[in-house]
Amino acid sequence: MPRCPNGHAQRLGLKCLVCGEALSFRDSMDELGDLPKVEPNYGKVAVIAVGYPRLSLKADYVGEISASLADLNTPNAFEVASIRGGSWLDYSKKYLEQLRTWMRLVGIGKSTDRLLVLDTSDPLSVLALSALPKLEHTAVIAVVADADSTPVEQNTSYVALSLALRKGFPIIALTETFEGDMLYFTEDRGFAVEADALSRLLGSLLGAADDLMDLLERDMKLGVQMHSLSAIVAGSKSVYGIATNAFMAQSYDLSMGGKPEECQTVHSLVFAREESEAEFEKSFGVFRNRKFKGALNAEFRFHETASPLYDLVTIYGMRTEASLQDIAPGYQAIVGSMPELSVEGAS
Amino acid sequence: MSEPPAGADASEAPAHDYKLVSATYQDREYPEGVLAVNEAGNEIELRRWMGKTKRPDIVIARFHLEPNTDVRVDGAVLNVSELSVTLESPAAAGEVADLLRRPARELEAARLVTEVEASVGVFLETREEALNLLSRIKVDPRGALFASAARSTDSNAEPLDSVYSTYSARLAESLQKMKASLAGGEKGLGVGATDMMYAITYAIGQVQNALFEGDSDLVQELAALRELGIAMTAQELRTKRPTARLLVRAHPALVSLATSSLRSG
Repeated sequence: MPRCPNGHAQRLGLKCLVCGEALSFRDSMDELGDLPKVEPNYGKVAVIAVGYPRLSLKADYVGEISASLADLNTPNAFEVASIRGGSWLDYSKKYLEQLRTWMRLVGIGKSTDRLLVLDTSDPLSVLALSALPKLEHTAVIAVVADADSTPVEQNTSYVALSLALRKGFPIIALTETFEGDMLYFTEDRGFAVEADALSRLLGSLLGAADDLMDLLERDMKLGVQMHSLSAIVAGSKSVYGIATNAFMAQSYDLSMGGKPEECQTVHSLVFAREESEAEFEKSFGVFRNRKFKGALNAEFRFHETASPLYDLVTIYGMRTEASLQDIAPGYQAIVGSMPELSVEGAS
Repeated sequence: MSEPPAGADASEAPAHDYKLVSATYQDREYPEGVLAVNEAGNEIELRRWMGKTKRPDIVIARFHLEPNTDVRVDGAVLNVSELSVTLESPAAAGEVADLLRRPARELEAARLVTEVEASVGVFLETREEALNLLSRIKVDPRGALFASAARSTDSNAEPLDSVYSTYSARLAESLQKMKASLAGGEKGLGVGATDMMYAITYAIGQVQNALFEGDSDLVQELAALRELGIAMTAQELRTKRPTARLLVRAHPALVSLATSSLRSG
């Protein structure tokens, strides 16, 4: 800071306010060469969607990775030109470094939590998982190929899932069939299907991102990385009666095969009016004791809402191999003729 | 360069009159007379005594001098253009020569001010650019860093680190050039104008800081600018790039100061 001959420092003015002597600015020029430090706010939750260009999500950041007519990078989109006949390996070879740079520029590691929403049959899902560094507080919502999918789709999906598992990300898996059949009621727009239904389901999960990440990371410590889910969106007493019925009903429609009894953990997230918290919590206890006695962990989390309709999302910890067994034959069939499309070929 | 005498006084500017011992103009000698030099030092008149009262009211020649006119002094003899004048003393000849050389020195001072201002401008405008980008990064880090990535040379570096590294290097370089330019220009500009340039640079830097912090009403900064002879409003300071405008407004005061320093020097 400029000083007068008597050593008084002063930020502005020509004369010292203490002694009236002239200030000297000559020795203060160097301080103008220092830039102030900024701590940018990247927000709490970042979502990267692959293969779902129409998702409507409320998050601090939503970035989309998709194939289009030409390469186009913006802060919210990484679009690549479609490669004719291209496999996940072709996209990875061509775009991996570019996507890594894009992810660095959009500060993918800077948000507190990250959620990857992947259509794992999309070749770009393998590219996205390859480019994403191993980051804490990162979960994958994976729509997975199933028995009805083609071997190529199964191969891509298998590689993507294997890559997510290898990188240590907790996964919530939904089969393509489950995703295709999703139909939810929304108060403002009526019934929601396809991308709208997925947006509605993800909307609830994003609203409880803290709890979701906490539950998934607890499961990781128990060795449970793969999850299935079931959900009731916009439920009401007039449809389901007591809350226990709602818990029981939703458990018959899991997003990934397997029996509820085989689940290793079970956690329910409820979004409802405050006065119903006690009933839901008690019903969760009944639900857990009736169907998941052997579960390693079971937790209930409540989120207060203003709506008279409630959302109930239950996450089930599964054995990892169960998630891959339906698509393993297709994967193997492709690797048999094209060995470079094996999991080992993905970075 | 010279004009034929018009009979009456053409120059209305205040003039200094110097008695001359003799003068030679266009191979003709004029014993005695007056050499009149205007205040700006760019016009001289050679006048001859008239009548018994020796009134100097016949203009023999009037010269408008360009700033680069060669002015030579040898003792009491002053040579300028086609005119050779012997004044009463070497001191008088020196004083006239000093007056006549002033336009050239003022031109030089204006050139020096402009030159130093250019290096100050590069430094302050680089700083303004950096602070503008950092402000945008605070609000929209992804958009701002994405936009700045095109200027980054290292795609593997952390984007924010890359911004700091790029701008720190540019600032350090322009700061050194500015300091060298100020030090080099001081002899011509004088200490007063150079000190003023340092003060203006620092004050503009403080204005940039206040705008970057965003929580100042700029009252102190505006008062400091006024003290430096720069009239601005808070609204003007909040325009996109106020630095260039501040430097333009500081220019007349700096030239004036440098000119004063020449007069006293």
